[in-house]
Amino acid sequence: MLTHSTGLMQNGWAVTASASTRWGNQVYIPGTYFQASAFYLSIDKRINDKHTLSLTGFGSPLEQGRSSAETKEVFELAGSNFYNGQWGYQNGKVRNASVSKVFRPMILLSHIFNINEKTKLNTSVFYNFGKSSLSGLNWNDAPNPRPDYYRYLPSYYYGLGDTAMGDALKYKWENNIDNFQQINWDRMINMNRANLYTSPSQLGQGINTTESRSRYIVENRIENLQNIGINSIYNKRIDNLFISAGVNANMYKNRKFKEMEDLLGGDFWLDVDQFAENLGVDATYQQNDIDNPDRKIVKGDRFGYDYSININRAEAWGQAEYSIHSLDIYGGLSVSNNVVWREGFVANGKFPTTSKGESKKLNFFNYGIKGGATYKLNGRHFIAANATYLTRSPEATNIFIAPRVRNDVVANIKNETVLSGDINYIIKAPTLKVRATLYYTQIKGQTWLRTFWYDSYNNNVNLIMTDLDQTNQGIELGIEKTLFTSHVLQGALGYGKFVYSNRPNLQAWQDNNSVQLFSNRDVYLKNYRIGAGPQLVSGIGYRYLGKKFWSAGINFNYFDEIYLEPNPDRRTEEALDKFIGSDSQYQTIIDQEKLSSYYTLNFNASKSYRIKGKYYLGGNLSINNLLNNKNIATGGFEQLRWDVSNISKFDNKYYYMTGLTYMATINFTF
Amino acid sequence: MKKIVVLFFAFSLILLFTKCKKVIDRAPVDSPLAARNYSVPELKAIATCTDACNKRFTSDATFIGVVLADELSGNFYKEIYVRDRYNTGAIRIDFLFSKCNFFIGDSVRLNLKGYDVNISSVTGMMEIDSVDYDRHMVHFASGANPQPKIVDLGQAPYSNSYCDLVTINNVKFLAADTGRIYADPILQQSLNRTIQDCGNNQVIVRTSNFADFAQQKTPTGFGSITGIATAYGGASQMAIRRTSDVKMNGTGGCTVYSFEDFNDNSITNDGWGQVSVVNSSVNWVASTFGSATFAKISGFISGNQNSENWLISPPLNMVNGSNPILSFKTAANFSGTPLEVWVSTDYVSGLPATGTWTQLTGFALSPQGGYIWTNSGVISLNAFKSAATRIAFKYKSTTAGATTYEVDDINIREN
Repeated sequence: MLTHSTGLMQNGWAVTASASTRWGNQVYIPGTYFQASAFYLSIDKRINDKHTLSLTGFGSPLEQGRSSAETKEVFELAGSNFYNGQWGYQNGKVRNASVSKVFRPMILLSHIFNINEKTKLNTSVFYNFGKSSLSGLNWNDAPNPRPDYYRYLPSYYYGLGDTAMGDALKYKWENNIDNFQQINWDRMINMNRANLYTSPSQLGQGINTTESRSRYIVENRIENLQNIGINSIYNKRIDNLFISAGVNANMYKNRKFKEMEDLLGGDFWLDVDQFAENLGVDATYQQNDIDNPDRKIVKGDRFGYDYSININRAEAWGQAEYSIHSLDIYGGLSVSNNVVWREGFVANGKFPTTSKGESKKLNFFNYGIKGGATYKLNGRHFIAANATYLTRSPEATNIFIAPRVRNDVVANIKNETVLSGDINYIIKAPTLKVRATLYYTQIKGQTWLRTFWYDSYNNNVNLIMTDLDQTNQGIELGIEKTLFTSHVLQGALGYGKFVYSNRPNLQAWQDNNSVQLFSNRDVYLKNYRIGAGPQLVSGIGYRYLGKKFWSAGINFNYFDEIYLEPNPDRRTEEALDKFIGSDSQYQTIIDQEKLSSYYTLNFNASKSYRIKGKYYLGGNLSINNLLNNKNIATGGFEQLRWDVSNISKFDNKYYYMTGLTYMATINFTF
Repeated sequence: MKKIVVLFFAFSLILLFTKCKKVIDRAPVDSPLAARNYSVPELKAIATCTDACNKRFTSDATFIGVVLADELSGNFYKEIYVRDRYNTGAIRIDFLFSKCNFFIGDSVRLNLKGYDVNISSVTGMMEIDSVDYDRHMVHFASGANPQPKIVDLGQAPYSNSYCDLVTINNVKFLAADTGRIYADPILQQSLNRTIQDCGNNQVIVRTSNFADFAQQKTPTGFGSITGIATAYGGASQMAIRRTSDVKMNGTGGCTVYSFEDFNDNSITNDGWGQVSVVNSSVNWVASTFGSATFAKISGFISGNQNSENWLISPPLNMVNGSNPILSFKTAANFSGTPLEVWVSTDYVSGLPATGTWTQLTGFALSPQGGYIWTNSGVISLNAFKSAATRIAFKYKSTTAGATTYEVDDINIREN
């Protein structure tokens, strides 16, 4: 990383520029890699005492080869908690099927206006744009290429009572016969090359002997974002009163589509919905683009789906802060309005009238109020309390039932409400810093939407919860104590209880048609924990500050209360209809898995040297997971696809923490 | 002071949290006793009802049982056979989808609401049709080891055991069906292989060409076979689950002490003979009607006559027998004295009175009218094992009545 700042130069210009790059390959997890760069450029021009203009641009292109969460069975078969099902050998080289690329630079042009000593007006215009893409395999008329597909696991055959086949697969997995554990790129390429395909419309012209139709491809699911906006903030101090107010508005447009990345040896891919083929008597039904049926796709072509999510937003807010004696109080108010809609750019055969064009424009009006106070008991001890009530619009990804194929909106979509409060006790003393917080947040009326593949329907299923409430409450404690100037002790504790607090409503749809699978089911989800990481995090650390600009420290962290996000479909009366209380399956299906608690030990040290008075040379070493524990499951999820007659067919999937890792940096400032 | 406040603050909050254990929601399910449970006889009563009754279950009801045969071998497809929990019968359950997760020995529970129970008009077996096991059937335990019921084809009707797991002893495949493949997976043909017991009762062992053992050959020996009792078009059939259930490698065979079908048109061949005690004009003769040849006797000679005539078997050595039995067929017309069957272990020759005879009872005789061929059933001779056991058919007529009796297929054998 290289950074240079000119500081404010005599001509009124100030420039800061920074560029960095970072890369890594297969740290514990095979098939993964990491390539990132970042740049930053900021040019300020001080026009006069009152006006400054600033132009800033930054961005960080990132490319990653990803890994997959797996079931316990797969980790055991592979003999490693770091098994990754996303890669395989192509012609002897490692190739990852799931590559994520993001480059979304931001440009800001700001105007800083010091109206007077006590009044400021800052306005900025920003433009955030760029693409993110995620590659993945797609296939048609061919076996599933993923090595960890549930039907390629011994448990599938043991479940059918076929021990011979189960044992055979177990042997292949455990001994990695012919790289059975990984994607077989070479085989996919051979199958593609051999698939000479004559489309029905071309039969009259003779059998095709030259062009091969790909059975397997690598496609990129791209999101092309453009977000432009303006933000203006006004501050004014009048004695003990400090007021600020602002307005902001932005236009957000995220266009989502698929692009052909690699035909894997074939000459073209046919742009049809292979899952609608089975339904078809009507060849139009399976078309992804009815205006261009049976289109042959080659590398770089856009195909599959093409739509954008648009959000126009405007907000105005005001806040006042007032200090009297030992009390600081503040209050604020904001109002905002979102207009959200979907625009489709292709009409597909399944929903010919509701896929292309604009959806109805949804309007969400929101407001919020907040307030709080800080009371200074003395110069070092404070008590602070805050409260807020606000409404906010649902996430755009939770509004449209199946945005890839149609415009339809979740019925009765509405704003969420948030009620939140916290009390804090703070100590700021020279050798002691303490913060203790008690917080409570209640979020009501959320919409939750997930899409997953369900092979019984040979289709995607959209599972939607509405009127979902949750409560996040907990305590946080942080202490830092310095002893005899060189010894720093730190302690931190976060103990929370994040639960779903009501019984939301559940409905499900298929991607292929507009007939609902089911609706209006109660989800018995009250007091199930939210699956968002450990709800108990704690740590204690010790750091020694050496006299000659060096320091070393060690810290111990303990994590607990890690729950896996529950699948709502499993907690309904309808799904469990065939069971009675004494069936062991009943308890297994509704139980929420809690992962084991774990702890880690981390070490870090740093040293800096001053050279010739104005140069600094520094180094930093940090070692994480000092005990090299490779059996720490940090998280996971319940699969949304599940089999009521065989719950272990689609077991929970987990992620594991890497073993000991270290990072060493050297920096030089000149 | 402030520090105390702080600590108190912190501790009380932590305590508040750890003590505050909220009850986690549970989606409701029925309690185990909620629904009425049906046995196979109760289901049969519903399936065979005739007076405008309902064969469809409209309220909560269950059928609980143990799986006897599963889809694993491929010989059964989209179906399993389940014996009820009371061990009073079995039923066939037909599925909408294959690859059910139910295996032999699993305890299963089916919610009957919405389903019909029927006797199939094609097979005669009782079944519950088109079951969606994902929605209505639970496998709640495993590890049971259901034992087959031993059936004697000559005794009770085979249909009493339909759908159940049965063992038939002392059988052998017909000569044309020994050493042949059970079914043909190449030509994709399911095949019938017939077994026969010592009473010449036959059962067709039918195997699907999808069975994983289809290409194995039927055994050539004598022994027992275990499988599911089935039927088709009125014929008794059996479907086996695996070839290890076929234990037919014995070199023995049906031990037949005497089998007399009178097809040689003689009463006196094979050591059989007759002794007239009263009225030497009334005799047993070999007679033919249609394709059957049998022994016939009538005490009507220009009017009812008094008579007594014994048809006596040769001496039969059943000293080493384990379960000797007698079976025969009779057809009769005109009212008179019922035919009697007697057994002796010491008769040698001459008048029957020279030996000690015991009358055998407990068998079926043809009604005295219409010449209806009636199987006697199986009569045990276990109490009369000797080196020279004799069976006799004693005919009597009086001037008040003289029945014409026809006797055929006299089978004295090991059962």
